Amino acid sequence: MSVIENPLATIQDLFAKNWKQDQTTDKNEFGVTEHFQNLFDTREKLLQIPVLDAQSISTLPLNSLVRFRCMIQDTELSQEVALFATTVISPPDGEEKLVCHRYSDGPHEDHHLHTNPSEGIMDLRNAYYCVSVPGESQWVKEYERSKVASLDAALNGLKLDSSEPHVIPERYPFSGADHFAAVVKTHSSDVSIGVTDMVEVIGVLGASDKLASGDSFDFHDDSASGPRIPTVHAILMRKIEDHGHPGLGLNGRPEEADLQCFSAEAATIRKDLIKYIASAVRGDELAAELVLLHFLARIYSRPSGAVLGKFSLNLRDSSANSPVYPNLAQVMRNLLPKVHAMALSLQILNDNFFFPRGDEHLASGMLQVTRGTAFLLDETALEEGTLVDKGLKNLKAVSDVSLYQTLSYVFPYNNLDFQTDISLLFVSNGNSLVPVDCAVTLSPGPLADEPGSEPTEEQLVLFRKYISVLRLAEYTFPESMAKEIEMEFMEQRKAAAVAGTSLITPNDLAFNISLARLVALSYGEQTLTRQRWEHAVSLAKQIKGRGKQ
Amino acid sequence: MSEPPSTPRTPRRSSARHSQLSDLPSSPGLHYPSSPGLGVSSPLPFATSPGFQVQYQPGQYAHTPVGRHFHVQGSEDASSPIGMPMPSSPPLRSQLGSSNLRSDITYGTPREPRSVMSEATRRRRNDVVSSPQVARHLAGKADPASELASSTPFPTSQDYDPTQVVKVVWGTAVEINEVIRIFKDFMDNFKQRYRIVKENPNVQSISESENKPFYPQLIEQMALTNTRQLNLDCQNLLAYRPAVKLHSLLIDYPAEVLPLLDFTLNEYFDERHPEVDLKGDSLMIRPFNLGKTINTRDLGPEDIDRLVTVKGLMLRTSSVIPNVKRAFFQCLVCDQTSTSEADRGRIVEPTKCPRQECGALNSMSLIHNRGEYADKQVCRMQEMPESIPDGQTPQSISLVVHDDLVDVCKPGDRLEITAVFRGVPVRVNPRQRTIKALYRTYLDVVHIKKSDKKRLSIDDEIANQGGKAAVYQGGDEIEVQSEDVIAKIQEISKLPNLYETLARSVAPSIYEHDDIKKGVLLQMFGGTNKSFKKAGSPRYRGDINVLLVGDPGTSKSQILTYVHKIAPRGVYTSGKGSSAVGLTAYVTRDPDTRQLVLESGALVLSDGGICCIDEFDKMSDATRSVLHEVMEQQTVSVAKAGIITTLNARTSLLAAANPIHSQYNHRLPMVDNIDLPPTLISRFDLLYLVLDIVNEQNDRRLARHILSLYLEDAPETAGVQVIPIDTLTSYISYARNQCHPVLNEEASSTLIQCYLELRKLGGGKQITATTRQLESMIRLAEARAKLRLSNTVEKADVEEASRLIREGLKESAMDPRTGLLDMDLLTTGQGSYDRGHLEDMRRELLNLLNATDKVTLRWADLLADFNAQSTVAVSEEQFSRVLAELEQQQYIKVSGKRGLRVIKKLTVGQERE
Repeated sequence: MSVIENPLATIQDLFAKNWKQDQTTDKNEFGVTEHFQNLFDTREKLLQIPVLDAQSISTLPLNSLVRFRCMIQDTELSQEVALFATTVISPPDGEEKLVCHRYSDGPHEDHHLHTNPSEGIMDLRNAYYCVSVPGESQWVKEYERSKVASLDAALNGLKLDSSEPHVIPERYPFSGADHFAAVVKTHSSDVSIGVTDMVEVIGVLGASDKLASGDSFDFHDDSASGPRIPTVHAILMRKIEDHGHPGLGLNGRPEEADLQCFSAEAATIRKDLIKYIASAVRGDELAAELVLLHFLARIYSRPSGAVLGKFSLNLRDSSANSPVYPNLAQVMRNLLPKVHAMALSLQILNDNFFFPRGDEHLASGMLQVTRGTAFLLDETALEEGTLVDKGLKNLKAVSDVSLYQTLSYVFPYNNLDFQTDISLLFVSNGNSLVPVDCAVTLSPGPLADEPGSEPTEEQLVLFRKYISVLRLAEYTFPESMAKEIEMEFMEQRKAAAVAGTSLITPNDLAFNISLARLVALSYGEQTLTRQRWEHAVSLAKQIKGRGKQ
Repeated sequence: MSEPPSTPRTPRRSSARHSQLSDLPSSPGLHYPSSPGLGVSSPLPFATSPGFQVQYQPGQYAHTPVGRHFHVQGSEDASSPIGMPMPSSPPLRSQLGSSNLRSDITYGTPREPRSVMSEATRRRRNDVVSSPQVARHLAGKADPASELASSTPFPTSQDYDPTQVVKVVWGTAVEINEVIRIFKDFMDNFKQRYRIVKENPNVQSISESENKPFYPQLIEQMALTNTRQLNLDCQNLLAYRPAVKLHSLLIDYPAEVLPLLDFTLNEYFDERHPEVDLKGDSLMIRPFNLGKTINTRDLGPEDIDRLVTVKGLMLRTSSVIPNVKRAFFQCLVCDQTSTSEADRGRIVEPTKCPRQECGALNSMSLIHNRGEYADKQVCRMQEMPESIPDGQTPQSISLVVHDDLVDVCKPGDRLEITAVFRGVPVRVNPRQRTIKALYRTYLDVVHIKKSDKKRLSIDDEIANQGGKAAVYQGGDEIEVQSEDVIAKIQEISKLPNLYETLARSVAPSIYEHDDIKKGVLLQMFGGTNKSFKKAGSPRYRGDINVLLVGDPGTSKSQILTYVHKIAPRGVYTSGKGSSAVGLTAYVTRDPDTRQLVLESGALVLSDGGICCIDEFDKMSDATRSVLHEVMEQQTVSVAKAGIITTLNARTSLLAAANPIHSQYNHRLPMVDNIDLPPTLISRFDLLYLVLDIVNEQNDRRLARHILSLYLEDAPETAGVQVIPIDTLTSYISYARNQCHPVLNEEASSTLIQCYLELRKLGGGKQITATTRQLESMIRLAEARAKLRLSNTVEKADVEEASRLIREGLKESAMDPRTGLLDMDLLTTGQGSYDRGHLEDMRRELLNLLNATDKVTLRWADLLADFNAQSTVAVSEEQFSRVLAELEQQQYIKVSGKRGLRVIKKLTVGQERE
């Protein structure tokens, strides 16, 4: 399609057709967005647009149409007032015409600017710094690849990449990790797109340039430093729901058919899956079940300050050289779309930043990831020593995520809290340093250290889908159950007060309710039944029982 | 060049103008070089950086370009580019509005887009000049100032005289004579009454001063105080109907109108106060309060070169940059000298020696120390944290600050800035010929107003104690805008159940705990700070400290965060996370300058405010010891890296602590329940227990509350009638600053009575109240009086204060074993009951020790054994106290730490020796 090779021509045509200079037309309304939306109205058509990534950047021609899937790392590179359109004289015939520069870097070399540049019309645009999605699992990448296999093969052949990557390392959450970055320039003032959102951008590839530092007090070109970052002039930009599973729809709603299918098969898949996870947690089925429930958890509501749906988990394994962390990391990478596993050692705590901090630039922190990313943190790597100021703040950031699912971005004179949805799973010897929703001590099962049989590829595909679909499923909490639970709570408290045993606290109640939701979902059920409630309560009891040993 | 008619009485100024004029080429119109460029080759990078031109320098207007204009005006030179008779419109913009240099910057941006964007407006504005009938007809439509104009019942340009010859600045609607005339009229006749009536048509009483022309008063004050700037509240322009037009002109064409206003002001001032010697300075208009504030995010191309008001948070400021105002050149060949004025940020370097006989080319060199410089500062301002949309990171914008506004604001200040929005082209990429496709924007500041509305302002008293009265005045003297706020505050203060309503409004999402809320509320009001000069005591604290102790999950933290939100200089910190240095102050090396700097911690930062410390009990001992000093002396001493200093930390503490064994043990007194030294506990004025108690009704409500979250119903809130947080904040702020209550006779006697009663509570044997409680009572009573906006403490205040303290004591100082109040529990950690039992315990323990034949015993084992044979539970605290006594008497030796403590029995024989 020629529009992919030369989108600017299409835009100019639209501009010439729809833009009347004398009218005070809204600059957003000369039909570009609609035109491209219509042009690429199906997924298949969208997939024809070449993907922009670290490999393809060297081969994609300037000013061609590209597709870029990324996480927004910073929404506020400095705001730009840019040329919207100017009158130019084209070289061959000296014809004067008004040219639109909205989706390009500026007037083209062949264009001679009209002698009176004040004819230009200005435009305001925002620049977002975008990076590749942090922590994406290999199978997700492969899934994407297989869809555009032909192109990919061609690209691999052309791989002549030896130059250093054009990224700003401190703007990526995981330091040292390979990634790709681009500056996306957009005219939309859609404030619903924010930091750590995952977006898909269809736009015109612009020149790579140094990032202008808005920081500098003089406004010279020289002040810009650092690597040259490619630019994408966004035509379409849309938020992708953060489930990260490439096989599911982009709107974040599981399809009815999938739900149907899983409600029937859930019980068996669940069993297999628990068995698979158990192989990683030394055969402990209870722990494996909790890990599974942990995978299914997501923040689904934040009514008046409370955070519902979070389920951070701590596995306590007192044995030395516990294989749980590496095993679990492998399992998670196999099952979940976005995973980051790391050792929570003193050195890592003291040397890295977990939270983003901005002065002029927003430097990233490890926890600046898209919603739905799973973290596996290994506290068994922790040794004695001093935690410096930075380490303390990092630990605080982790516990804030665990407790409130908010991450504080540190700016001078004020901190801004951003909402997150990060699953935290801790493996530790004793109690975790970080307060968690649920902690359970591992008790090795009979088949403790025997390597379990690896699931087949088909099974894995099923597991992945099962987790991603049920994680997103809607859930209702029937009023009748609420009544029963309420009565139960009061009676238990009364009984405990009489017997002088420890009271069931409101927190216990809240824990049971959220556990019940996950249990129900894991069975593919979307409402709570008595049976699942009792299962949840018994789980909670077992967890408590483990804690006392 | 003739003298302007108004100057004869001011020889100083006219002579200055003379000299300027004599430096000029023969025609003022030719003063501008025909080509942009040629910056001065000055070594000062900022002064000459080509991309960065200061177009507007308030300091220069009155005596440089504008002054010149008016000479031209006076001579009615029709061919002069400024005073153009309409409708002829030469293709040049007037020198006021533009020079070639300037157009370098404004290429395409400012005028054209605006005329595209608001085409109708612009055209019509041009029309305003030529056909006023049309203007009058269209006024109120599509005009940027339409809302403002239409909000006043008068047509905008009512007293316009079409027959008059009109001179406008080309490309704008600025009519020079008109602007001057209007402004003069405004200054002559504006009375505050207009403003008051406009804002509140029902005002009955207008004081005499409000009925006098306002600006002559203000100008007189300027003459007396030697002030060089006049803060012009633009709302005043709107309130005076002939000047309404000026308001929109000022916003649209600040670069043209401001110099005119400055000029007018100077003339006006000279007329009225010829005796004041301005020492060559000129007066400046600093307009503010334009009517609406724009978020930095919403500044667009259409705002370029317009006057805007923006709110923000200052991030950092550069050092003061000397900006060349007038450069001095000397010919290298013949030593002939010449000077060159900066014109909107640029210096024209003479290419040729001006002496005809010499005429050497490129021989003029700059003599730095003979030039004149003005102050300039470049700052970075971030948008207000409140106005950042969800999920976005904050945006920041550059500010350029000139002259006396330099160093007015410090990083961290919340500001409301009135400024001209500018755009400069950036990134002329040599490789790509992307010519001026990008513009960077910044603000040229004309007025700074510090604003801090959400938070309480800190005590005036404290703010001024350092002797640093605010040098810079942001407003024009008489505060009008707060009137209705004050009215509202007064209204609230008349509520029948004021105290209860206010208490309910504190953290309305939390159920009950009314006494705690009351305590915290009074803490926010605070007592009166006193100093008795005669007695020589430095300062007598009025700050009230509150400690909350209780079961986890009882919303202590919520109360803390709420207070932090509204308290003046509130700082929130967690005892667990903050080390002593984090709380107090520490010395670090500044990364840029490598100099040692003192960084203040939470306590110092909350000087004059409230410091909220969560997890108070988790603090390290070192940190706590610092708090001793803070809570009584209200200072923090730092002795580190050669810096020895005492910083003020006049802060109230609101702390929350958890009981030692997660659940509060009712069988033990308070002191044994929290891991805090009694000495520290006793420094709190109020102590509250927040407990989780089984109660069917409560439980049901709790369960409902939790379930309702999951049922996706909106959870109910506790309060019926609550005062919104902003109002409460301003109420408290007002009370803190306005009221300094004093005890009246009746109150004092009640106080004595209450104190005596409190002391009697213990039944005579125990000490129930100390003078500390008396002081607390006074503070609380004062706070309660402040709450009523009263300046006298009355009997009821004292009674409430004493009730609060009694309630607090009942919970905290009650010895559950005897049921009596015992202050000793708080001050020393052991009550009289303990002391009686200590002897028994010592004897028993000695028996126990003698009974075993082991020489060394584990501490924990011994405690367990001891507890096994004791009828009452012995706390670790008590146990170690007994052990300490035994150790002192050389019966035993304790070694090791905490859980690993080992007790070694010293043989009886040794002991006997």
